[in-house]
Amino acid sequence: MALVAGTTACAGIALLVRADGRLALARTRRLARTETVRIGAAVLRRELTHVLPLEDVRGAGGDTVRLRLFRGLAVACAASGADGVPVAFVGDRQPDPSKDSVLPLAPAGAPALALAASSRVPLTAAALAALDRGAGTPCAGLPADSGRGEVLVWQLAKPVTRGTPLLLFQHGTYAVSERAIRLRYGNEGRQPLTGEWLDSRRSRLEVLSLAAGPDAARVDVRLYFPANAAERRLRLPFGNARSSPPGDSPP
Amino acid sequence: MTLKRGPSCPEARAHPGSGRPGIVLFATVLLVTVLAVTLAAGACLALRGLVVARARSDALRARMAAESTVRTTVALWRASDARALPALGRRTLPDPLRLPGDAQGGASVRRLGGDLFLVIGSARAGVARARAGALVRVLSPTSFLPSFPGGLTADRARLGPSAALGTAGGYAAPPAWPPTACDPAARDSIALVFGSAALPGIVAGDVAIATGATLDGDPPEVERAVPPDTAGFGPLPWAQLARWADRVETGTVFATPTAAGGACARTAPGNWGAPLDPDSPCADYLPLIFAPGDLRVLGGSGQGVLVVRGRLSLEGDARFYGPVLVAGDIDAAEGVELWGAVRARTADWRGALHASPCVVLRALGAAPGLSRPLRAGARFWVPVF
Repeated sequence: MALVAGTTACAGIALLVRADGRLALARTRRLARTETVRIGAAVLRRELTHVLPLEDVRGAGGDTVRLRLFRGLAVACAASGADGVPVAFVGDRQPDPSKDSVLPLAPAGAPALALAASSRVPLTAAALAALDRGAGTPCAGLPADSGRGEVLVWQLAKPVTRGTPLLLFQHGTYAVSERAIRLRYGNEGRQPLTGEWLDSRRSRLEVLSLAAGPDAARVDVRLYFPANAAERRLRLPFGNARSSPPGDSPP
Repeated sequence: MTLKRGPSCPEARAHPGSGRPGIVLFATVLLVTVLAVTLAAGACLALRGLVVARARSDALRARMAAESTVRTTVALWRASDARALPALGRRTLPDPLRLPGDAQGGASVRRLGGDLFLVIGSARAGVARARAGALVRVLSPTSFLPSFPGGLTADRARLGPSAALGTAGGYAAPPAWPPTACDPAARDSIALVFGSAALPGIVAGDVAIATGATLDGDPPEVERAVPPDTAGFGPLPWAQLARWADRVETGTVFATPTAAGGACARTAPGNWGAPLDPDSPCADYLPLIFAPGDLRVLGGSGQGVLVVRGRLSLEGDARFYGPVLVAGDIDAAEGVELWGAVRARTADWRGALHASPCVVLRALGAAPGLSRPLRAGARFWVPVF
């Protein structure tokens, strides 16, 4: 009797442990899938918010998209001088002249400029005020918009006028390859952004409807998880492709 | 010797069968332990999933809220506030915005260069914070000035015997307006567009002045061909004007300022603002008025920017303060008084016309229809961190 009871109990425990393992594995896979989708959506959505499809998409394949990746915004505090142009800069990292370029937003359609040099200058309040060569608030107030900004001096290929907004960007390629979503900066190697859970052959990352006009363009991501035999789709619009907020632009 | 079967020890005798309950107890404890571990592992995984989902939800709500603050700021845009900012000057929204989803946000507007503005919205939702930025621009009043090189500009102009056209005091506020209503830089704006702050009385290809009419200006008359404005008003084509106009008028109008409950009733028929009563709630209302066809103004008073695609007839004692652009012909009766400037294909003027850059610039700068924020080029959202 004891043997039967013990055997039954052991068998039950073994089944329970096995079921527990399978449950844990399923939960882990599900969590991995959720994390992959979450990271992919968050990262790509954040990148695409500031992208103007016809200007900033530099190339696309079935599983890759090459973009301008915006890493900061600066405003010229004064007109360009012999020493460069002082800018109030806010970004998610320091500018790097070896890989970054600058896109002036005024006048409209201005070409991107190479960033030849970027230096921090320990400017005093008086020196900052001196940069304000006209009437108005000095450059010192600009970084306060975020509390994280700082004043830098940039060397640009062409002069810019005071108040010109400047976007700092570098080129990068997002891809679904080698079982993960990966990002490649310039000519560097591809770095994984997610765990290696994907079936690269059945997953896609492509720009759709670019030819149909900037408002129709979007990035379509299909992520196939072989472990779950599940597919997740993300349709990510380009933030600057939305039709004409806040109003029509006059010709 | 006889062997007797029985318990081999006193404990065994006292607790017969005690080995089996030990095994069952052990198995039960093990089972409960495994169950507890299973439940704990499941709960741990579920909790982790919950934390991830909540963080994701907060981040999404914060981002949406930040974008909403930008859109709200743009929707509540007051061009006069924005234009009052100095270069690189900043204005912060006085009150935080409470947004759906228990989010809270704030926004600021910074003037960059000229008519370019950076709107920054920030928001907090749960544990997440986010910021969003957008570039907008407003139309410069000076972009409309080339349509008005003189007090009266037309291809053919005829001044009747009762006509009085003068430019004296054009840079000062009209008698009914507060002295501060004028842009102190009005001379600079005129000089920037026309190369000189001088005010010609009439600019026309063909001018006929009846005996008794009075005309002054610097110079009083410039005779040159004036091609008609057929495409629209300044940078705005007709279709755009029709969409942006604060008021669209057709047929016959009697201009009457209307207030209700201490506020200007902007949608009331014929309410073109109150140019003659500085204390009226409509004193600061200078609408963009568009007539897609012919328009007759039977009398009354109004102010703003009047654009007529057909023919304009000013009758009775009609008084208007602001620039008037007519694609067709304009006809002003003897009792009519107009402050500002007129542009038409042909003009038959018998009333009083006070050419005034002060009035023109104030109306162009204050008309809500001309003050809306626009995309600065193709790019609207810009990264702020």
